[in-house]
Amino acid sequence: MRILIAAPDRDLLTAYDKLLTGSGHAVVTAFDGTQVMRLLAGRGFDLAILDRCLPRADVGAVTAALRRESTRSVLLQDHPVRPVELRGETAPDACLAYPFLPGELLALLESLPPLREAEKGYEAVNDHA
Amino acid sequence: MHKVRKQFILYAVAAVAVLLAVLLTVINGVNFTMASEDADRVTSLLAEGQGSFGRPGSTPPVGEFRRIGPMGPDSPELTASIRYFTYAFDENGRAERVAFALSAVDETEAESWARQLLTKQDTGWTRTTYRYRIYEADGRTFVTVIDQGRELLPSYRILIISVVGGLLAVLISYLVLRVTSEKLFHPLEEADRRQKRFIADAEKAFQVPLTVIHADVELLERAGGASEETRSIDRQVRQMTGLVKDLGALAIFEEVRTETLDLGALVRDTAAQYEERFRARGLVLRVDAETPVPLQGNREAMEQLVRELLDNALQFSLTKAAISVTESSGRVTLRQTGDTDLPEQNAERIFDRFIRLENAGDTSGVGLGLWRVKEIVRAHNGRQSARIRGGEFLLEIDL
Repeated sequence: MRILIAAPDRDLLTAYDKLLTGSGHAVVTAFDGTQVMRLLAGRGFDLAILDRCLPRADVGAVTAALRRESTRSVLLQDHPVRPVELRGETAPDACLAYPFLPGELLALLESLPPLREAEKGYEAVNDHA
Repeated sequence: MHKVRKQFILYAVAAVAVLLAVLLTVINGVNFTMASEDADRVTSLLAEGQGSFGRPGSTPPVGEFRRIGPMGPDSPELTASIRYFTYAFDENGRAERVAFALSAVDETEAESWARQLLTKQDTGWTRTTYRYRIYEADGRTFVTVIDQGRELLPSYRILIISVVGGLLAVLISYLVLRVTSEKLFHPLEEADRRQKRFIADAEKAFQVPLTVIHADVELLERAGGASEETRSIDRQVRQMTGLVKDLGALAIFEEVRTETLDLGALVRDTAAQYEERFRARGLVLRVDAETPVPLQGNREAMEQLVRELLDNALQFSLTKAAISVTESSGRVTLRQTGDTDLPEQNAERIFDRFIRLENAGDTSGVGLGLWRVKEIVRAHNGRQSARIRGGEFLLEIDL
């Protein structure tokens, strides 16, 4: 998969860049929301992993933009429950709570439904909202 | 802290109420006892005179003058002020009027009244404000009844004033405590809030560094293979990860601001967000939550409770787990089950702090998750139970 990881912590980005690359994925990193939006334009990503506290970013706008680009998203935050304010077209496909093990993230990536089903999932989430 | 303040006010007011009740009961008890004793002294005087003041032919007694003034039975005006009657009964039951100086009844009723008293004990109160005495003299049984209405009036007034005054005092003490306790508890509440904020901030501060360390250990093992050192780092970091996950909940709410919520919908929504994690672990999760299931509770706390149950199921179920919520006759029951290979036992101890069952193994956490559940249930005036039976772990919460 082509994966975009965006987080303000450089050590986290470095470690997961190496881990995911070592697992066979093509990885691009970003430090803030501005970089994410620039990278999204014209580049197709299969998945984006975003830190909820990403600077210079409206996380809801970023996840909505990802959805428009047919890119699935995983939100990293301090608890596992999807934020109430991120529903419908701004809802991420999954949330993962810090601190997590590498295996948890990798298992989560494998468990995400394929792209077509992800779109259906969007509809279901939209209906649920 | 809000709850602690309310409890403080409740206990303090209760202490004031108990103190006042005891004090006023003793005062009024002594007052009425002394009134009885004064009345008995008068009936005693009458008994000495065989039913009237002074023996036949003798002059009535005059009270001794005292510095504080003659009062009650010692008053020289006693013989003129006491209203009474005396009847003497012979062995055949024939009555003789010895003295009659009462306006409330006529002689016929007075005789009947005296006859009724013959069956009672030697002295006592009759018709609320009359004191009587029964005594023997000259082979006959005498019954003397004196009116104590005027003497008892102040005592009854004191009793009413005691009750009203006591209730007023309790009310005033409650109002004073409400106002002063706010000032008294403010520093404590502020310190409590700061402590909870610090714990929450500390929890957040550890989260990303621990994630990075986990990732770096994984990278080291991929590059050079696992070693004793990397395994040790991994164990310690997992331990710290569990502790950090539990830290935030140590700052458990004590104030439960409630609202009417639909517990069924809350369980379904929260369980939906755990589906991916159950799938990743190869577990089947069944959710059985009818809706609506109204509950007066704190939304944030109930969300945390349901997450703890799902975390518990996720960590310790072998192949399948279930969560259900039902409502019956106003009681809401939340159940979480999961298959397990632990032996049958009453598992109530899992609700204690830092207790982990035998299957905890290397899983993260230090045993505070279900203690949090217990605290949340307690704050909602509910009860919880846990047991293992027939290969199934069952946790039940009644709210």
